[in-house]
Amino acid sequence: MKNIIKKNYLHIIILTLNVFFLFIFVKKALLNTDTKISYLSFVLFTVLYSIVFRKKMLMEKIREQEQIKSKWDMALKKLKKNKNSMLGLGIITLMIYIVMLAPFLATYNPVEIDWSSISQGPSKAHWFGTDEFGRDLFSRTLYGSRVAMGVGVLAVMINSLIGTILGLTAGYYGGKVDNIIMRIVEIWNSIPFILLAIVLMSTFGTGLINLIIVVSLTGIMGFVRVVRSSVLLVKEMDYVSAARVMAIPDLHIITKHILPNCIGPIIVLSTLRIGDIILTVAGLSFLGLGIQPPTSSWGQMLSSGQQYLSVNVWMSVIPGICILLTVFGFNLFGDGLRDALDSKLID
Amino acid sequence: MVNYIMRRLLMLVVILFSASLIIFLIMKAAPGDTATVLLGENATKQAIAEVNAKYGLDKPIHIQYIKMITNFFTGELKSIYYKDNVIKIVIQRLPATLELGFFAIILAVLVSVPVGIISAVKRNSIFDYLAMSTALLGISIPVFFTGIILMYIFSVKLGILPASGYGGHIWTGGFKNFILPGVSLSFVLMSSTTRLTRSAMLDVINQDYMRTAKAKGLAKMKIIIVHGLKNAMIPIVTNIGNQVATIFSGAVLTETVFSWPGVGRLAIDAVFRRDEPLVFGAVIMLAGVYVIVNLFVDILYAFIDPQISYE
Repeated sequence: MKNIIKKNYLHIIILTLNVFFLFIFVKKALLNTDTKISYLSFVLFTVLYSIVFRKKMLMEKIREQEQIKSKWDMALKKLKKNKNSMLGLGIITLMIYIVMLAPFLATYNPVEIDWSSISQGPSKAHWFGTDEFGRDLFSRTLYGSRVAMGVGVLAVMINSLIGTILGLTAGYYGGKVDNIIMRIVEIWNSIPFILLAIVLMSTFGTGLINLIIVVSLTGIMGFVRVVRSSVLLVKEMDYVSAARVMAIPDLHIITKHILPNCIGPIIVLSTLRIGDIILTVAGLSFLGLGIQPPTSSWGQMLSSGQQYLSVNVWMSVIPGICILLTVFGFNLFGDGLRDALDSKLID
Repeated sequence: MVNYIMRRLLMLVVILFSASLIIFLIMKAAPGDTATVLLGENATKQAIAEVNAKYGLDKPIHIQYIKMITNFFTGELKSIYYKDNVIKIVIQRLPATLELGFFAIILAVLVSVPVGIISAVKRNSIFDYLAMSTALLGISIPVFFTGIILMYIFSVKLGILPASGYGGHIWTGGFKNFILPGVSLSFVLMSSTTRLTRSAMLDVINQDYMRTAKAKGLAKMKIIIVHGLKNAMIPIVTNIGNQVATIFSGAVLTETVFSWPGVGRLAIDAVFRRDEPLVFGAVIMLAGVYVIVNLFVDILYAFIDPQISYE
């Protein structure tokens, strides 16, 4: 028992913290739809976490008896040893909590205008100060994390899905198919991303969904390249030839025999891409092509912060540091993952 | 070699042609039409028809595309807002962007290559640790945030450097204006190149030929520069080539922060004014510059690594 607690103290702390949060925020949970959804997602997160935790404990028991060590166990061990990547994971976890608990942690309504306190510095009433409309910067920053993380995660999912499908097809079938896919992707990639984003956003208009589509369409190249090259490595292996000789359908070979070998690089690339995407989304919002006010996003907060630079520097510093910290977290963790999974394909 | 360059030039034409087609199609897929945007919601049908006829918007889409391309090359493609030749407007703005970009690239190389080498040679020292932390910070920081912070420190607080604007060519006294945007644009490239130089040098340092050179009793500097850097150069140049795209997007953002009269800013303004011909022209020409720079980087490889074959 003592051994179990010692080994899993971090998970136990997180679970206790979750239950604690659930308990103290239960009063506010039914305030409005926003809090309802947030509370529900947090409950879901806690339940999922405990299920995964329990499964992990069971697996560990089996592993201990049978002394099996897979590639993933080794990678996990290596990852845990890397202090930098653990710091990154800590930052990411903190951000996930902020995203889910934003309505409970916020001290003010993030879109509430208060003309009596405009462009103030940090104080007891407003921890991070206020912006040019007297809106509380602390609350706006908390809500801004939702745009950054939400768009980042969603866009990477779409991005890796399209990239993986194209990469698998190009790598597996080779020849003409490969040539056509790679040329198209290359041409798509030869237009500098920001220009493509500018044209797309100006055509289809600004807004959350358009932003996600634009960002997900423009970073496919990395995934296609990485997946394709790992398919090329695996394709010639004996077990793939054996599967082919046995007349197993292509789709089955690709999903069951080839895809599992590409998962490592895809995970690493995805983690690093989230950071990139957060920067891109912030950049587009900064240019006025992203999320429109009054919805708070970090890029747009920085953009209005620049106009009031000589009045209240906090308006720029705080969202800037938030972007920096989040991207920093993903980069640290991604670097650690890359070392742990030894994906030489990505540099 | 000549063959390779010819083939790449042909590829360049194909890429630019396809890029222009993609951009044209995206712009045509826009929900509202140009005439309504220009004249307002209350425009009469006749007025809309007149505008459509004037700009050729009533023709089928492929004819519109061919017309736009031929007009672009003959110089007849006019900006709706500036009422002037698109190529002329973009070329007027191009020097400011190119100078800023090259300034940033040169600055990045000058700083990052030495720092990367020292980090690799003095691995796990305080210097290495500091340099690598700064570099990791550098790839995580938004380029416009660097710009705003530098602007706050050096223009608002200390008042030593101009906060914004272009003061003429870098060689004709506009240097002071280049420092802040140049440094903030350069920071990203600087960081990634430092990281890459370090890892490339670390790969090279343990090679046999390095040990041989050491055994021969060569000076340490000579070993590192002649035997080490020469071999580590390929990944470094590749990275700079790859990062040209980052410099491009960074330039658009930096130009916005520092009110820099470059092509990036021009394109953004044109988007907000729905000046389609100008967006088209600016984006095509920027893409052209981008492709040419990439070609240049590829040719540069030949001089660094004669082993690369171009067949």
